[in-house]
Amino acid sequence: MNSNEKKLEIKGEASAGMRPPETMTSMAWKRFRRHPGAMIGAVVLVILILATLFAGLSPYDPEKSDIKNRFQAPSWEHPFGTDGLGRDLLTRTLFGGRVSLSVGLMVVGITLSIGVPIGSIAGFYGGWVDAILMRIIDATLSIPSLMFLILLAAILRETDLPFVKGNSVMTIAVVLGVLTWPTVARLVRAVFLTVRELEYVKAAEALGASDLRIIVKEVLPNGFGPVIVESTLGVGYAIMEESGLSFLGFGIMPPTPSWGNLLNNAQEHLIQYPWLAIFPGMMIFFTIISVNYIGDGLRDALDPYKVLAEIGE
Amino acid sequence: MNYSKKWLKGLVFGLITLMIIVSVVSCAPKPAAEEPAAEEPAAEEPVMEKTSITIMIPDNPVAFNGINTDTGYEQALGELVMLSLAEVDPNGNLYPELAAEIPTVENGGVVVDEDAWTMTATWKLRADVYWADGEQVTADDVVFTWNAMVDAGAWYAPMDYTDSVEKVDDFTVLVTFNTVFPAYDLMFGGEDVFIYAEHYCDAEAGFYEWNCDDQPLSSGPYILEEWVADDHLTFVRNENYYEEGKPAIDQIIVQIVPEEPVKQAMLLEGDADLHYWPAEPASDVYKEEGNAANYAKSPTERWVMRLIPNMYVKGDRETPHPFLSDVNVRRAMRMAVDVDTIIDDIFLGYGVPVWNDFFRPPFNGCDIPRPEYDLEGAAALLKEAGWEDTDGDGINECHGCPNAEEGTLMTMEFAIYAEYGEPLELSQQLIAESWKSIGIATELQIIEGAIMWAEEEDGGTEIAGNFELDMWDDGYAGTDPADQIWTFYSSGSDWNYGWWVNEDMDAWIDEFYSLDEEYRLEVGCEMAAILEAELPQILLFSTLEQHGISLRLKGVLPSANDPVTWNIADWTLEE
Repeated sequence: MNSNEKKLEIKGEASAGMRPPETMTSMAWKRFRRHPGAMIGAVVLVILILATLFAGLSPYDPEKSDIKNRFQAPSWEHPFGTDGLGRDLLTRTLFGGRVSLSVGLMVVGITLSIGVPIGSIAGFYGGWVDAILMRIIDATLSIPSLMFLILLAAILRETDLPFVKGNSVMTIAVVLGVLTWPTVARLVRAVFLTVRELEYVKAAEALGASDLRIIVKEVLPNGFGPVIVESTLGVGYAIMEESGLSFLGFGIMPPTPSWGNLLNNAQEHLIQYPWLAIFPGMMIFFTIISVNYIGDGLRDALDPYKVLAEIGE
Repeated sequence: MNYSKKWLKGLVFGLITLMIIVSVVSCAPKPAAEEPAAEEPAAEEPVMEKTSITIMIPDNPVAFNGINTDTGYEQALGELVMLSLAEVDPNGNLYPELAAEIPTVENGGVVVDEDAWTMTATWKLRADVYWADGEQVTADDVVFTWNAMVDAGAWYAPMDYTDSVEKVDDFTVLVTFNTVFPAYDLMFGGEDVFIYAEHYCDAEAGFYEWNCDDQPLSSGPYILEEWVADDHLTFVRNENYYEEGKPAIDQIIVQIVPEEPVKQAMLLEGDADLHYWPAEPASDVYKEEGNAANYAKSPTERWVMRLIPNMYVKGDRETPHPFLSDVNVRRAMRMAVDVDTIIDDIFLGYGVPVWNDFFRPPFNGCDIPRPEYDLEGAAALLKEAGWEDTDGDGINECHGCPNAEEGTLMTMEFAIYAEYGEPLELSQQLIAESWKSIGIATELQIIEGAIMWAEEEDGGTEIAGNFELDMWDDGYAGTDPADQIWTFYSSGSDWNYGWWVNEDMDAWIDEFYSLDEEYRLEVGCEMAAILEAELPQILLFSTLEQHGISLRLKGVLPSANDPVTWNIADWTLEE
């Protein structure tokens, strides 16, 4: 065997051991990991979620008063201080996080379950179906959001529907979800308008695939990227809106804590007992910043043009 | 190269120097010599500076009409522009306003027919009171006001006892009652009733809709100049006011400021002069020495924080409430409220325990013992009433209770009004926590006062019975509780919010309308005993009639009998 043959053999072994081509998911994950803001945001969010999940380990009951210890400043015993009924603010902030984060996730769930089907139908069928659905979306988007939220919250808390009674987490989620779905619907519609004209979709039609199959299997996966990005931003939006509603007295009612109503209750003592506002405010701040950075990271990671640029096409 | 660097340095230095000079010159005060003093002859004359104060309230008044709506601000601002025949001072003494004197049996103004058990009251009016447009205030205006209220179907207690209101001459009004009516002296006065101008108010529009509700013609010390909804009302001195040399302050600005911290900051910073009904933490701040604010309170109490249970299912006046209709449950609920802790720790000591509506002199000698705070006793009483938690979920179920199906859960809505602020919210949470410990679950609500006490057709929750349990404060102006007792506890009253009906109470309320003060004391105690036995409302404690006042504002005398503005014509400014 001469040296050239050896070289060829080595080359052959190398080609046989070559890694398979990277999937889109692994490429997106790689790109996400390269976004420092997104990674820090993810870590912070995971810490916050874990802290709220394990809030039950606190030695204090979030709703039990300790009237002799009201308005205690932050200390080793009460790291966030205590509120007007002597309740441990750290415990209440962590339990409040459960409510606020739950509202955020539920709102995204509601938004996706209404926005994705409507956007898909409008974008896929076009014509009068699209026109009607888009006018509904335009009308919904034109409603002054805060006024509508307050009105809807006031109505829903008087209803006796099984899941939306009173100022429950579900009520607030429904109220917020009703207003946020049009954004997702428009996004999905835009994706459909572009993708439905592509050749592989036409090929699927020619092969006799049903509309449902084309929508769900062929077109919708192409819209996942922007929808996921929008969803992460939606979590932040929902937390902010829940805080706003609670701040105005239309959200989660005490003694159940939420970040919004903790801030609401703090407003009379901003000067005397600033910690009542600082800690829940910080939680909202960190959560919103985190999800926004995660959204940024996902947008970069899932951007098909950047992916194509990376693989040299 | 060196030359150009030097040139650049010089340019930069020059520019900076120029900027500094320009800044200093432009910031310096203008030299007096440059002012065109010669062109301002008025500057040499002494100009009286207009005096002005700012009063802060959290919400718009609905109208200048205390009968129309009762948020408290209608009456407070009504005192600025309107007069009544008679009023009550902070110590409970009656004094005439539009009237020349208060009619009494002694001065012949009141004549009682002992046989028919009826009476008449003759009001003599002052002849020196004028409306802001120069017209004289006469007996026609009193009769007009009465007729306007009757025509509009308005109701307040004297209407049930009055046969007629007639003009005798321009300054004399005769009121004929169908019974002996002890509250005759405040029939055209007190905090709710003002006298309106016949020649100005639009009678066709009617008492509840007329122009006088939002553009009143003034007979009082001030004239409403401007009303910007949700922002402010401006009042200016009424030059036609009948008291010589009054009012002392030229302008009153009533600023709508909903937030307590903002009101507190404004008063302390000198941006306002009166913080109307401050929450207790603010009062604590105003009481501290060295602050730019004073604290003032009424010599007597009035506002009693009370729990109002609905005896019927929310919004359904046919079906008894499953547990609030049971007096034993109501008693247990009262036993489980730690009133002392609420007063001492949440209301910072600004309160007095109250457990019966007959708590103010002279009707407070009935020896009704103060109820004890007893959680175990409360739980035992609930068990006795057929409410017990057998499934361990922390909420009692009906097991042999009188008014509910077996297994019904002991859970209810518990609402307060938003405007009171944090002390009431914390009290609500503390009470709910206490009840939770004995198996009573609550869903806490906070409702705007304007909704809570609105008329039924406007969605008012109270008058429509659209609530289960509410907590708010109320009390009677003046010194006679008769009207309030009728209002809250008579079966014929629309304001008997909980729809509690008791025939004995109705009979005693009728007996209470007497001029025999000794007998009234006895009747008061009979009613006090019934209220204690039945607990149609659960009274907790009296909050204080208190206000924050700037150091420069003098003459403010808070009153439990009238809004603090009752003597605004006497207020002065001390710079």
